[in-house]
Parts: sequence; C-alpha cells; structure tokens
Amino acid sequence: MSGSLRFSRVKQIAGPLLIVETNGMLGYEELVEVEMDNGERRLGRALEVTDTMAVMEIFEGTEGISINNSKVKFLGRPLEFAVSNELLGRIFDGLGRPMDGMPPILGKATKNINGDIINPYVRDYPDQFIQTGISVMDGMLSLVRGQKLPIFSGAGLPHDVLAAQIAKQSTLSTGEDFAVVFAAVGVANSVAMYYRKQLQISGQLKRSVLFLNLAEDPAIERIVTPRIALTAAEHLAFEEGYHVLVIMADMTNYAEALREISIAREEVPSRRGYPGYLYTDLATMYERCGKIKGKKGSLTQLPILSMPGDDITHPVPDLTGYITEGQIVLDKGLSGRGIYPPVNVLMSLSRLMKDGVGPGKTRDDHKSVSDQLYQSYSRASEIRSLVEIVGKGGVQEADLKYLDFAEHFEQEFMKQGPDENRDLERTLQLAWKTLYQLPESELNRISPELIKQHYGVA
Amino acid sequence: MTIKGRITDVKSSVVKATGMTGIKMNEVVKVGELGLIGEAIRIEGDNAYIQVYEFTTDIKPGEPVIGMGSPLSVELGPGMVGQIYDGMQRPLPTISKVAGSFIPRGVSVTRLDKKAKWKFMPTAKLGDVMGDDVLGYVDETQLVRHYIMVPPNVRGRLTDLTKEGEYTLKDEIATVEMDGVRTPLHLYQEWPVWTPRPFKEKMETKELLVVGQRVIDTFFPLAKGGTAAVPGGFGTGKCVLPETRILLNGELKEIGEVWRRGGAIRALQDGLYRRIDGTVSSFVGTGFSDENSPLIYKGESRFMVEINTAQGRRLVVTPNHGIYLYPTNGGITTRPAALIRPGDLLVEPLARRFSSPSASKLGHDKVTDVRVLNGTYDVYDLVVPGAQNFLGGEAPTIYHNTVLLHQIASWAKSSMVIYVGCGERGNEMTDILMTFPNLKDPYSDRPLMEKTVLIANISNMPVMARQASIYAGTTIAEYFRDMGYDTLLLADSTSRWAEALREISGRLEEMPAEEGYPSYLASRLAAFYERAGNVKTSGSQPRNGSLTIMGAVSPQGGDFTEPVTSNTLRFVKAFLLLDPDLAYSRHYPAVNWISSYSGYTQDLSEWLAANVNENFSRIRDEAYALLQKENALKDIVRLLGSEMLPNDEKLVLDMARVIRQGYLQQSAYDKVDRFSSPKVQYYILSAIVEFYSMARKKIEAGARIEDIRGLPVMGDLMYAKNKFTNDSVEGDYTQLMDRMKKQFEGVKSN
Repeated sequence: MSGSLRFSRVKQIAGPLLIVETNGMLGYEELVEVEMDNGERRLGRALEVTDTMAVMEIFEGTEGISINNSKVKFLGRPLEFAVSNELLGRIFDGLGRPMDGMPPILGKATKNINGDIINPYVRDYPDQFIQTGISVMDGMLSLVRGQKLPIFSGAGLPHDVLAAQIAKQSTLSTGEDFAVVFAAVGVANSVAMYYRKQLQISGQLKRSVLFLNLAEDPAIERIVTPRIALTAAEHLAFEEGYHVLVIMADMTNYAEALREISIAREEVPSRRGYPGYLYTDLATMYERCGKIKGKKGSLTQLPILSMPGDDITHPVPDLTGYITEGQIVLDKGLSGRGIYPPVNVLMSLSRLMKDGVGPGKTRDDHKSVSDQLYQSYSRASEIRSLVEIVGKGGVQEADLKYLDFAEHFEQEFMKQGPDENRDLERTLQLAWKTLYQLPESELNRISPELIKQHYGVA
Repeated sequence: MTIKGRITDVKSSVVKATGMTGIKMNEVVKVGELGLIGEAIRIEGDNAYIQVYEFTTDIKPGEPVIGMGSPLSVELGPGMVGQIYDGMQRPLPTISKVAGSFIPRGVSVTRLDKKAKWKFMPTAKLGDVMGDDVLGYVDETQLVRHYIMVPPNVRGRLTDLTKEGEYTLKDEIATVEMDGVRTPLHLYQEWPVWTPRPFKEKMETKELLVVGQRVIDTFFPLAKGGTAAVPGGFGTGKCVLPETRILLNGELKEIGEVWRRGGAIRALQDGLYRRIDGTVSSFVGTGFSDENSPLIYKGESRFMVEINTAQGRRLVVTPNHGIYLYPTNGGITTRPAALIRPGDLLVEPLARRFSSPSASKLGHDKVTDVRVLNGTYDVYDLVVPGAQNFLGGEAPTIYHNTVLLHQIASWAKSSMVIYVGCGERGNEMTDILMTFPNLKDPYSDRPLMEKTVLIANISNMPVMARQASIYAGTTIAEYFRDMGYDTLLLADSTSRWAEALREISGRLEEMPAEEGYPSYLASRLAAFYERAGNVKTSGSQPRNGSLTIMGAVSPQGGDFTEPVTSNTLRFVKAFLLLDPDLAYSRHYPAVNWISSYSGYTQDLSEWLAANVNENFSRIRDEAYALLQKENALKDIVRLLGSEMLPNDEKLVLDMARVIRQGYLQQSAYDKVDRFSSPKVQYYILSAIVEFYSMARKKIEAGARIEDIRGLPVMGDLMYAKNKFTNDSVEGDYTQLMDRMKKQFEGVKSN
C-alpha cells in the first residue's frame, strides 16, 4: 500500500520457495526482488503472508540463493502489466519485461495480471463465424468469435503449424483481421521462433504481441505468463477495439508449474498430484474470453495442451474440456499417414458452432453438411476397422463406398497445405464432392431440397 | 458492538485474523482496506479463519477485519423481481453501471435500490401482529403483487401504519411495539441465506404443478412444493456385460473388474471412459489385434440380447452392439445384435480357447438361438484409440439440461421463478441472460422477467460465492412462498455447486470422503432439497405457499453412481431423464419415458380427479401401459419384424406410436401445441385410449388391422394436440368421439 521500499532477509529456502522475514509488511501476492551479492536480481511473489514472515515463489528459481548472500527488497505492489496500444509488435519475456531491445511500455494504465471478472450481465453471446481457411475447421468445427477452443495434442504433432495457420488465415465475415497475442508457456525456442516467423511472413507481426517463457526459462514463471498475455489481450480487445486471438502453448506446462508450487507448499493433492483447485484456477484464465455488449473488440482463445502419453484422461485436458466450448483433438495415426491437419474429427467438437453457422449466418447447407460428414465418416471408420481384420474382399459392395468416402474425406477435404487458405465456398464445395462418393440414399442428414441443389453439382 | 480484529495470515482465499473474540460462526466480515466480503468459517479462541468471497491480492497482515454482526443475508423487498444478481445478491446491472464491464474487487453496490419509490397500499389493522403478517402490498410488476410482511422474528402491537402513498425502502412504514421496545418496519427485510425461513407447518404435496408439457404433467408430474432432478442426457454405446472376459496383458479378466481397476475417469459426449494400462488382445465381436492403451466405457442398458452358438459361445450384448457375421452373399458384414437370427454365421476365431487370439485364424460359428433379456444392466465397452468407433456412428449431439429448464421456467404455472446459474461457462450463462428477457409468460402474455429473479454465478467467479448463490436463491424463493405464492427454484447446476463445496473443503484441509467431496455432501444436499415444500405460512392468518425445487445435475458422462448424482437421487422425488437419442431424432421434449420417474403420480391422483377429471389416473395408466408394452415388444420386433406379431400386439405398437407422436411430442413453435392445460391433456389422451379400446374389441371380433389403420380418425388423433384448446376442448372431444364411433361402426368384424 505505502509503496515505500523495505528490505529484509531470507530465513529459509525450500525448493522453489523462499521464506522471508517481513514483520507483516508484505501483502498477499505482492512482489519482492531478491538481490544477490553478485548483483543478480530475481523476482518473487508472496503465496502466504503472516505477521512475521512470508512464503515466496521465486519465478527465476532459487538456485544459488543462500541465506547470507542475498537481501530481499519489497516492491510494495502485486504483479502488474502496463498496457497501451503500443503493445502491438512487441516481444516480452514470461514476466512481461521487454526482450526486443525496446524500452518498456509507458502504459495508459498498469493492470493487475489476475484481471477482473467480466460481468455476466454485459457479456454478449458469441455467434459470429470465423473463417479459418481450414476446411475441417470451417466445415465441421467452426470457430466463433469469443469462443475458447483448445487444441489437444501430443508430442510430434503439428499443433503449432495448425495454430499458426489459424492465426494467419482467420478472417471475420466483416473482413476484419485479428490481432494475435501469443503466450509461449515452456515451449522450445524453435517453437516460439516458428510462430514469430509465420506472423512475420503473413505481415501480422506488427499486429501481434509475443510473451515468451521458453523451455529453458524458469518453470515457476509459467504461472504468470498466460495471465500477463491475457491482461494484454483484454486491453487490446475491450479498450482498443481489436478482435484478439490468444494462442497459449502449452497449458500443460502451466499446470505442471502450478503442481510444483502446490507440492512444495505441502497442499493436499488431488488427481495425479495436481491441486484440488486446478479447475477453478484454469477457469480464471479460460473465462477471460468472450464478447462484451457495446464494445467493438472480442477475445477468442486457442489454448494448446499436450496430453502426456497421449492420454485424454489426464487432468489438464480433462478439466479444460469442462470449461472450454469444445476441443480439437489431433491424431497420431492421421499425422503418420501424412494428413495435415490431422484432426480426429470424431473426438473433436465445437460447442458454439450451432450458433455461428447456417441460414443467415453462413450457408443454408453448412450445418447439415457438417452433420452428414460426421455421421458418414464415423460409419466409414467402423468399416475400416473391419477391413483391417478381413481385408477388402471380405466387405460388402455397399460398404466399400464408405472406404472411398473416407479416403476422399481425408485426402481431399481434410488434407490441405499449411499455407493453403480455402474460403467457406471452397470448403463446402469440397464437402459436397466428398459426399458424392456415397449414393444419394445414404445422405439422411440433409434435406432433399439441399441435396437436389448441391449433390453432384460441383 | 462491532468486532474489529486484524489480519495475521493470508493464504489464498483464507485469511486468519486475531482479536476476533465474540465473532459468530458464518458471520459476514469486511476484510482489509478494500472491504472484501468474507465469512467466518472456523473460530479458535481469539482467532478466526475467514473465507473471503473475492480474490485477496495485496491484502496485508495488520489490515482490519470488521464483523458485520450477521451471517450472509439477502435483502427482501420490492425491486427484486426482474433483477439479475450475483451469488451475493449484488445486482449485476448496477455493478456494470458503477464499474463498467468488469467486476472489480470490493465493489460495493446496494442490493436493493433504496432510492426508488414504490406505491404502498396498507391493508393491516392496528393491533397485535406476528411474523409474516401482511401489512400491505406494492404492485411491483403487472404479474407480482409484492406483499409487505412483518419480518419473521418480530411480534407485538402494530401501533402505527402509514397511509397509502409512495415510499422508498428507507422510509418507516410501520411500528411494532413489544414490552416497550419500538421496532420500526420498512418495505424490506433481511434474512440470512443459510437459515430456512420459518413456516407454520409443512403439508402434503398433492397439487399438480402444471408445466403444460404433456410428457411431464401426465406421466412424470411435478407437485407444488416437490423436488425433481434433471440430469443431462447420455447415450448408450455398443456394450457388453460386466462378466464378459477380455484378454488384458495376456490374462483373462472380467471387463467389469477391469473397469473398477482402471485409471482416471474421462467423460466424453456419450459416456464415461477410463484408461486402462497395457494391451488388450481380444474383445467380443470386433477385432482381434493387440492394441495399446485402450479406453473402457461404462453405461447402462435396459435390454440385452443373448446369442448362443453351435460351438457353445454365449454373447450377451446391447441390442445395437455390432456383431460380425458372414452373410449369404459372401464377405463379412456387421449387424446390430438385435438383428441377428438363428442360423446366422458369426465370425469368430477358430481357436476355442483364448491362447493367442491375435494369431488365430478366423472361422465361423452358427447362431442357435437369440433371446432378449429385460432389466437394467451395467454395460461396458472397450474403445481402442485409432478405431474411433465409440461414437456409435452418430454425430455428437450437443444437449444440455438447460433446454428443459428453460421450457419448464416459461411454462410452469407458478407465481415466481428463481433461476440460479451456478458455476456455468460464461458464454452459456450469457445465453440464458439473453434468452430470458425475450420469453413471455403464457398465462398473461407479459414478459416472463416480470415474475423472475435470475442469479448468475459463473465458473471463474469466487467459489465461495458459487456456494452461496444457491442459498441466496432459495431464500428469495422462500420469501415469495411466504406471501402465499407458488414459487419455482431452478438450480443449474448442483454439480458445480458441490464442486465448490469440495474445493472449499480442500482449502480447509478437511479429510475428504468419496471422490474428494467432503463427508457432509449428502447432508448438505438433503438440507437443500428439504427447503422445498408445500407450507402453511406463519402469521396470524396463515396462507398456503409452495416452493418447488428442480436441480440440474451434470453426472460426468452419465455416471449416475458418482456422489453428487447418487446422493441427489436419494433426496428428490422426481427424475426427468433427458435422452440425446430422442433429441437427435427430433423428439421434443426429449424426456425418456421409460427411465424417467415421478413419485408424485399417486399423491396427485386425488387432486387430478377433483380438478381435471375423475378418470385422469386411469387413462394415464392405460396409456403408459401401452408405452411399456411397446418397449417390451421393441426388441422382438427388431429380431423378427413386426409382421410376425399377432394383431393385438400390432395394435399396441400402432397405439404407442400415436401416443409418442400425437401426445409425447410437443412443438414449442406451434401456438396451440406448445402448451396443453391438464384438461386438454386429459381429453387428448382419453380419445387415444378410447380408440384403443374400440379397436381392441374389433380385433377381438376378428377385424383386420389394416381396416383399423385405415380409419381417417387416426389422423384426427395425431393432430388433436394442434386443435384442442382449453376453451373448446369439450366440444372438440365430443365431435371427435362421434366421428370415431361412426367410423368404427363401419369396420367389418368378420
């Protein structure tokens, strides 16, 4: 509160935590700077404060800190981030400090990175279709402005290529482009550079903000990186009027950092050692998303989560699924067969699609084409697994058509280049071509009028 | 005297303060310079632990904690109707006015507008009064006359009552004297949310809460003052029984056992999945390859098909479980188990024993007999990554119990509706907040909001407020009940509320019980549903009022054994199962008529006889029997086709179809169909049952089923729901019956 500087000493060091004498002068979640004899400074935040001492998480880690080589400076404020429209085009580290050689932002305002809750009363319902130029997304898993749609992925899968493609190609029906906020949460430097390069190529870098906590950066820092990125994104969306797409990769690293702190604090662990409040903690980030009545901008989230061991039951993807509006699941099998984007459509879902597509929104046949592709591809997958047992010769003639359909679906409809941008007309045209692999009688999710209009026309 | 202590310890949302002597358990406190709202949840001597309702960033030791003297309360008075509150009764529109689009910490807004003027009409006489006595009223909206009552804990002599006129909530409108103590009364009062409001006595629940939806009112009725749960829909996959053995890591195990020992549970669109470690080498009816990391699915089925083979195999599977077989025209095909017939050749490994089925060759095995088993079965299935067949060939249906709650909220014949959105997704809540203001009350054609209070608490709002929101809603509902109104509380979802309970319990480091929920989960749920009821209010002239509670539960992936759902089912009397399959086949309202139940059918029969028709219960039972018979016949029909059935059973199927399409299905868009009064429901159903009884007599006398199917009056039965209105129904019915009798006279009975 007083903001005046005070100094103290380290009392105890335990894993990533420091215990510091405070004499009650430190507030909850307030910052300290640990100054070491060699001049090195590290930032820490109070996790618990009492009359006499505080438990601090040290973002850069506690390595090398000793009780007699360091002193602790109280900064008298919680973690804040300065926001302004000058954010665009900038690159920051995981704690929000410039790392592009440019001066710090002289913000219009500094904001607490925890953000405030959007008043549900002023939220606007997301129902505007975003064209990503990716057939499998636009056709079957439409993204809607203000939605949070995570990508569940695994090691070696091209989730970054997909997220970058979405960032590059997404356009709104109004013709506006997105501003992109990218939060690297414990990913390799090469991944961060990939995003940067892709945004540069597409000319979007000047409409982007990058926050980089890389794999070699301190793990504890990851707890704040997504929140700083969302603070920037909220400002751009709701104060500056941009439509903002936030990509956060990889949220599993975030949860692991949270677990590390929780275990160091000896909290009662829940599933797989993650703290019991993981659901609420994730919700406080994922819910920083949406549209607000009377405001021009919007905030759309595309979190990327790796599923350790490709396990969709892992607590992080599991809890994420309860908060987000659907999920895109990437598949090793498809990827192995050279299909990009390798989206397992049968496990993926966009919950807000129903409100963003169809008559008056996109095209009259959009919804039923999506349903039909879904149903037919699902049937085709069953027949495929049968063929794996008995071979093609063992399957009935009618069922073989489904094999052609699935092949066409994957090779013509789903498969596209990472730089190939298809508009919705093209996507639906390809969808109808794919459906043409099946006899008309098999298309029971589409009305006869629409079939007459589109079947075999393209 | 106010208690003023100081903070000694801050740890996330729990704050410890000293100097708190005299603080009461659950007393509300203001924490820190910001004045964050909190509540005392543990007291140790001079120290109190405070659970803070908001985020505690930059709160310091030494900052003040001030006791507010009472537990978390709601203000009850004019201004509530049509309002949208958060879990602590702060009006969200007011917050947006003072603070913009976000809710800042410590924002302080008045719960009820103290400046607005209300026209008060006094009705009481001076003299002795007691709690809940009516002093007068304010016509708050066109739909709600807001009675101003003496607060429950006040009694004495009413010495002063103001004249008719316009008053604010701050103005004194009456004075009650007791033993020389004067208590000034206002247009509003306060009541703590954790304490049920008192009443004189609880009465039987024997009056129908009309919701105008035929499947509910007729078959699964709700009673005024009753309780009901609505779980989200879930589907059944292609499954086997728990005893089915599978080869896991080279060892034979029963699938049910494998489930019990499986890993973390994952809920997907159609059911509950659990990861199992290792490889599975065989599973009945599908492939025979070694597969890594399969998932296991658990669901429930009402029917199983038992298939016995010449080689002594016995398969018991759900009717839609795909079975591989050799058809007569060559190749291999897959067919649902329900369509397998004796003589079919199943694809099976040649080896009779499970040695290494993956290496074994395929052979065939002839089906000797097929039977349908009735009952409720736990069923399991294995899902192998890559096979991607677990979605059962259908696009996933997005179906949420909110849809039915909307419908019930709009059509229920109640004077007040309180909707608590608890722990929902932000965008989902927005859908509700944007839909409700557009709904109309069908009885008055006025906006539904004129008799509605909404409480919105989404997943990222503090958990303590999430927990409180349900109680705040209940207290508001009880207040309107005490005015003598029938009120309806919709809580969506109680599962999220229970999760808040779990999280707070974890923060307090309490010993967890089942699945991490606190041991008091069941008692809290019971206490919540117990606040429903049909009561005689207190006061010198008791009124009848009721509070009906409907809670949505979201069992993860349809696992009804999880603690929240299983405990809820112990305490509610009616259960409306939403069925995604019905929704997918465009059968609305998608209430499953086989698995749903209502314990009120008996309780209400007297009321129905007196207020609708003395034959109501008989007609309902006869119609329901037809639906049950159809259900029993359904799988036989799948096996044999309906043409094999005798005529009387064909007639049952025809009539059940008429009931399904002409009665259970109800369109929200058709002006007449969207709401059926109980009287209309009775006459439509009565016509169907009469038709059946005439047709059965004809069939018994040897008439052809085709002649009965061809009667034009069949079409009239199907469309009665679009024609019969409450005003014309008697005449419509008489005409229909005349036509029916005439047409039946023309049926030859051979």
